[in-house]
Order: sequence, then structure tokens, then C-alpha cells
Amino acid sequence: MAANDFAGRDKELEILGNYLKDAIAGRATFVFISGEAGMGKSRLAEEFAKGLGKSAHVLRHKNTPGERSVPFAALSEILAQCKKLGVGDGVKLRKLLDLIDAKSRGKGELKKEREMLQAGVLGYFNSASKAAPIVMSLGEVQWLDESSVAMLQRMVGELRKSRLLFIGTYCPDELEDDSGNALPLTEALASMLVEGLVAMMPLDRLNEEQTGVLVARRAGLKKPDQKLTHMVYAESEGLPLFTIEIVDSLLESGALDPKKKKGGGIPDASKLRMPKGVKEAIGQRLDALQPDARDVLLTASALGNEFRARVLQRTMSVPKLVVSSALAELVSRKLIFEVTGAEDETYRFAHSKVHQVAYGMLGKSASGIHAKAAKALLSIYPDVTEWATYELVPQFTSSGDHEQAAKYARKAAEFATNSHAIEEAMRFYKLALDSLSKAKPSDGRDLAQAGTLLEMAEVQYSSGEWDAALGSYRKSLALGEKCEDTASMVKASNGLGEVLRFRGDYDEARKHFGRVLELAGGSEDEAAVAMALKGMGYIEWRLGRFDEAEAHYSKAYEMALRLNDRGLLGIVTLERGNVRTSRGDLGGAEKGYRESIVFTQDGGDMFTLARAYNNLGDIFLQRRDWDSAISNFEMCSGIARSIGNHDMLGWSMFNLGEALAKKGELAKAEAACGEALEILTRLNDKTGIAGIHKNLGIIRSLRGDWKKSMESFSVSAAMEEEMNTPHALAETYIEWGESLVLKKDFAGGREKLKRALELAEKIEAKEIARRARKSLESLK
Amino acid sequence: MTSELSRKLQNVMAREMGQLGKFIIQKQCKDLGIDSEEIKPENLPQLSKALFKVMVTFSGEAKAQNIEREIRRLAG
Repeated sequence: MAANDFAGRDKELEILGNYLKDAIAGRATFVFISGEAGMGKSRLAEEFAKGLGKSAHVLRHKNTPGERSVPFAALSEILAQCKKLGVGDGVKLRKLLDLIDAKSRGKGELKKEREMLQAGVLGYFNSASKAAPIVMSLGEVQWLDESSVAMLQRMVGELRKSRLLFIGTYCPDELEDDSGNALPLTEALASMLVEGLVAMMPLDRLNEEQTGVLVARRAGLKKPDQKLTHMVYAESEGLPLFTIEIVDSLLESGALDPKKKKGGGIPDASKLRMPKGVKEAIGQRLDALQPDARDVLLTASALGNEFRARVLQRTMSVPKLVVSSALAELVSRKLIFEVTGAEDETYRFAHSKVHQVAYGMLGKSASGIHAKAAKALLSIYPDVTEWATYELVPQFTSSGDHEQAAKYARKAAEFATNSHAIEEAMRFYKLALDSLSKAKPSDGRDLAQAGTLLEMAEVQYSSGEWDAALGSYRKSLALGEKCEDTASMVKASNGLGEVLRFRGDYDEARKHFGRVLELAGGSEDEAAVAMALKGMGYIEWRLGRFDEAEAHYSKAYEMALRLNDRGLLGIVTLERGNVRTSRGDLGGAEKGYRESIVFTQDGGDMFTLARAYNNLGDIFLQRRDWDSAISNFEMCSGIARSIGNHDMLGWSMFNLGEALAKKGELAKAEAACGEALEILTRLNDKTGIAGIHKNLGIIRSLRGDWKKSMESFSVSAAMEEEMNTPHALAETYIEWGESLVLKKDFAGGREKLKRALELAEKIEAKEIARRARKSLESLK
Repeated sequence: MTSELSRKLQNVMAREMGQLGKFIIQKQCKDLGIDSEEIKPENLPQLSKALFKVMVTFSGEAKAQNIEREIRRLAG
């Protein structure tokens, strides 16, 4: 039996069917259905999906305006459906779900972890679609958050050969916000369209004949009635939602009654007052509701397009029975529907227009309802869960409580950061700053701004946005200075020092760390002083002033010991070990790394622990104690794997490959290098990739696979030339030269070794120069 | 300040594609090195050709040809 709210889209269903055939053949299609509100875009996608049966996995999600506040809402929902339906590799799926879990996050760089998430999603859908084609249907894509849009762009670009049909619907008049700024999808869609990467399906309005079919189905008539059709079409002008609303309105008022025998129940057009637009038609239906049902619907509209029953009931402070019977009436009148599979009793407005009209009817009372909704959320979710946090932000913003809006926007930013939704985290921080700018001026407000900027700077720093981080730290510092708040100034200065030292701007970094020592030196804030000393130690180490570096690290160590800060002790001893490695004191370095392991195991972070094992392995590598090196690199990779730190995992597998190769376990070495190459390529870590190619060159020459060996050395050298890393390049030339000698290509070997020597002498790399000379002498 | 020609072109594209039209013009202009707020008559042949390709995806070839002609005529 035909659905009573769908007609006239046979041509579009056929086109979608053809796109699916393409997808099944391995030519993915990304199609965007557009049309004004009420055109039946979602119904078309739904009707198409309904007809697919078991020929494809169908994954669905409909975005709502409120979901712009929930990072990766669509992706989470789609992945949850994959889990339920058993789509694809369950292990990969669990890892992806862990990565977007907002509860916690490792200490790795956000930027690299985010890249792993995107690459993981692409890999997952690519392999899952090989087993069975996938139809992914996303409604109202204009409301996707920025992080999801970035993911979608990657999918469009990189899943072209998968068996995927993506159907997105959007409203062409909702691509800008109220201030005329593009929503996240808008520019991305323009760009994908210009590049010819996506298909478009703009929906036209129904003609009179198609409208007649829809009217007849909706009214329960056996066949279209010409007079009724003409009357409805004259008003609806072929807009399906309006057509449905008019018919429903006529049915509810009794003006149209298909059961009446006289005149076939068709009303006399001249006696009817037809609504003049969709809003008026919906408004008429809402006005005709019982008072309780109307109140419930209007209050629900303040909670968003989707709302939870218990939040609604608490917001209204009326008996549960009143709310539940009103909800039942609203469902029966098809103004809302219950969301199936939701963890809490949840409803959604039948159409965004119904939501808009209901919210518009609230008028000035809206802000009071938002305040009550915020209060209700806090009473139901006293622990302020992730979901509640995202809900609280718009409620407090709309109620005009700027301080609370800022407070929860900061918390939402933290959740978004944990989910690797960097763009969304930034949006929440900006929202917090915007709310604070509207709050009453006070020192408290300035300090809240300084704190928000500090948190924002930390995310920017971790995302590799160093310029932005510097800007945020500087603004935070200025506000701290304005309020004469030492704590804020110290934090911002330490942050500035950290970013600047990693940028290699050591003079500037030293000034900021110096300021921390000056400001916090006389205070009780020994932790900040220790952090600054650690930073100073790093700078001196990089500048080759090892005595000064050790002195700073020793002071930092004493302070961290007094504070019993095991985490900081772990880092300080690790970095002190690095200084000793650089000065050739391998025994001292080993002691440092072992201390770091002890401290870190007792209260530090797993990332530092992995680093300590890695650096310890490196000491054994230098001592040519291959077994100890292998065991430490294996410890490091195990930890990196357990905390999902792919960067560290890639590097430890790289080092493990080298140790195994030196030991002569060539097959294992090549496997380790292969895994490292895969990971570091995904992370686009060029230094690491070049190093792995060098190692593969060594391994392959030891196996006598000369052709592949030379190819690997050549790739490594070309990358290092391009990156202008002479130290690494000199090492590659040595290994390449020695391999050529092994191949008995003495002339070729001599040429590479000479090149290594030249480079090493130029940059005063004594150890490499010594080795190159020794190898050249052996050729004489 | 948007030039008269830029405004006219935006209106044509908005009529066909809604708010997306404006961003399509911005993207195409950027790719072609044209200031989207200061479109000149001599930019129209190049721009209409680029916009034609997008319109084909959006509305089919016949409609896209009509729009291309309309755009070319905007210069008066």
C-alpha cells in the first residue's frame, strides 16, 4: 500500500536506483537532494531506502539544528548502527568509537590523533562496503558540525572506488546563519560541486496531477478528485508539506470527510478559508489543539527539534500524566514522533517547519522557558553528562545567562576536544568568549576570559596551530596583567615559552620562562617554576649548552621531588637523560631513563613512559646490545598501542625494525618497518617515513634484494634532501654507500660515502664523519 | 561594495541554487583569479563557462545552457 504522504517522485527514485547500481559496481556516488522546506526530501530518501530490502546496508541519520552543538553526532549514530547491524570489522569499529568518545583522551598531539580518526573512518567504510554495499542517508546535512563536514569532504575525495551511495538532503535557503555567514557545509559543498565530485538532485514542486495523487492518498480517497485537487493545488502550489497540512487541516476541522456519502465528502471551495502558507496551515493546526497539548508542544520547541520527555516534564513542572497524554495526542496528530532506539524517551518534531512555527508562537516567553529548561537539565543530570552539557549551552545562551553559557561552553569544548572534534572545540571556546563579552564587566569576567583563552591555546597548540596558540596565550597574558593576577600570568607565560621553544624561537621562549621564574619565584607556585626550569633546560640542551641544561633540570628535579609530582619527575629525568645521551654519557642517560620509568609507572602518563622505554632502547642500540634494545622498543610499542598513540607506535616500530635488522632477524625487521611505514604515512610524518625507507634499504641489502634496496635508499635520500635535514641525509648516504660496497659496487659506494663525509664535516657531525672516513679507508 | 554586475550574477545563481549560488560564484572566481565582488564584463565569458559546468550537475544540460546565455547577456 502506498504511503499516505508520498507521491510524484518516480523519476527521482529511478535515478537513485541507478546511483546504487554504480555504487554496487564500485563507483561510489555522493548525491545531495535539495529543495525548499516541505518539498519531501527526507521522504524521498526514506522511500528509496525502504525499497532496498537486504540488497544493501542502510545507515540513516537526520541532523537537527541543535545537533550543530554535538560534535560528530551523525558519525556516532552511523557507527552505532554499524555495530548493531554487524557491518564491517568489529575491532576497527570499536577503535573508532573509542576515538570519538568524549570521556577521555590520551596525551598525544590532537592533530595526529585526528588524522588517525579520519583515516580510520575511511578505511573502515571502504573495507565494510566490499562485503556489502552501503547506503548512507543523512538528512538536513546543512546542520552538520564543522568536524563532520571535514570528515565528509575526506570521504567524498577518498572513497570514490568504494561501494557506497551517500544521500544527503539539504534546504537551499538554510545554508547561512542568521548573520549571513556560511554554515560549515556551505563552502565545502560549493567546492565539491565545482570540482565535480558530487551529484545534485534539486527537487521541483509537484504538478497538479501529482498533487492530486497525494491529496487522494492523504485524504483516504479511492482516486483523485479533480475539484478538490484543483482547490488544494491553487493554495499549495505543489509543495508536498503544504498539501499535506491543508488536507490534514480540512480533515481535522471536518470540512473534508471521505466517509460522507453526500457529495463524496468533498467540501465546497467557496465556503472554505484556505491557509495562505505553510506556516499559517501549521499555525491553524496548533491553534486547534487542546490547551495542554499546545502548551507541551510549544515548551518542547524550546528544547530543540528533538527533546527528551523527562526534561520536558521537569521544565513544565506539571504532572507526568499531563505531559504523557499530551505527547500521545501530538503523536496521533502527526506533529511529533517518538525516536526509536533512543536511550531515554525521546521525541522529534515531524518537520522542522512545525518546530519553527511552535517556537515562533512562544514569543517573549521563550527566554523564561529556556531558563527553566537549563534548571531542569541540571536537576536531572547533576553530574552534567556530555549530552547535558551540549544541551545546556544553547539553553543558557537563549535565556541570557551569559556567565553560565560561557561556563558550559568551556565544558562542551573540553568534551569536543576529547572527541577530536577540534573545529567544534574552537567554536565552543569562541562561544564562551562571546558570552563573556556580553556579561557584566568585572575582574571575575576578565579572569574567566583569561582562563578560556588559556584552554583554547592549549588545544590550538596540541593541534599544531602554533600561531593561533601564541595569539591566545598573549591575549590571556594581557588580561592577567590587567587584573594583576599572577596565576594567570604565570600560566600564559609558561604556555608562551612552551610554544616558542618548540618553534625554535629560543630567545623569546627564554624570556617567558624567565618571567615565570620572576613572577612565581617568590610565590608558592613551585609547579610553575619547575615547568619553567624544565623549559629552560630543554632550550639549553638544544643550544648544545649541556652543563646549563643539566643545572636547570637538576633544579626542576629538586622542586618536583619536593612537590612529589611523579609525572613531572618522569619528564624531567627523561629529558635529563636526553642531555646525557647528547654528550655521549650513555651510562648517565640510561640512569635517567630508568629513573623516568620508575617515576612514571608510579603516577606519570603513559606517553612519557613509552618515550622512556623508547629512548632506553636507543641507548642499547648504540651499545649494539640488540636483545635489550628490542625488548625496550617492544615495551614502548606495547604501551603506545594500548593508549592509541599512533605517533609513538610508528616510531617505536621503526626503531624495533632497525634493532631486529642489526640482529639479523630480517623478516621480522621488514614486518616492523612495514607497520611503521603504514602508520607514519597516515600521519604524514616525513622524517619518520624517510628513516623507514633508509632502514628498509639496509634490510633489503642484507637480504641481497639489491634492486629494492637501492630504491628504498633513493626515496629516503630524496625526502631528506627536500626536507633539508643534512644529519639524516648523511646517515642515509653512509648506509647506502656501505650497502653498495656489500654489493661489490665499490665506485658507487665510494661516491655515497664521500657525499656523507662532506655533509658530516659541513654540519660538524663528528660521529658520522668518523664512520664515513673509516668506511672510505677500508675501500683503499 | 558589490559591483552591479556581481550583484546581478549573484541573483541569477541564487534563483537557481539558493544560498549556495553565492558560494559557487566565490569559489569559481577564486579559482579563476577574479574578484567576486568586482566582476567585470570581460570576466563573463570565462565565468559563464565555468558556471555552466556546475549548472549541468545541478539542473541538467538544457537549463544550464539557458543560464549560461543569460549570464553572458548580463553585461548588456
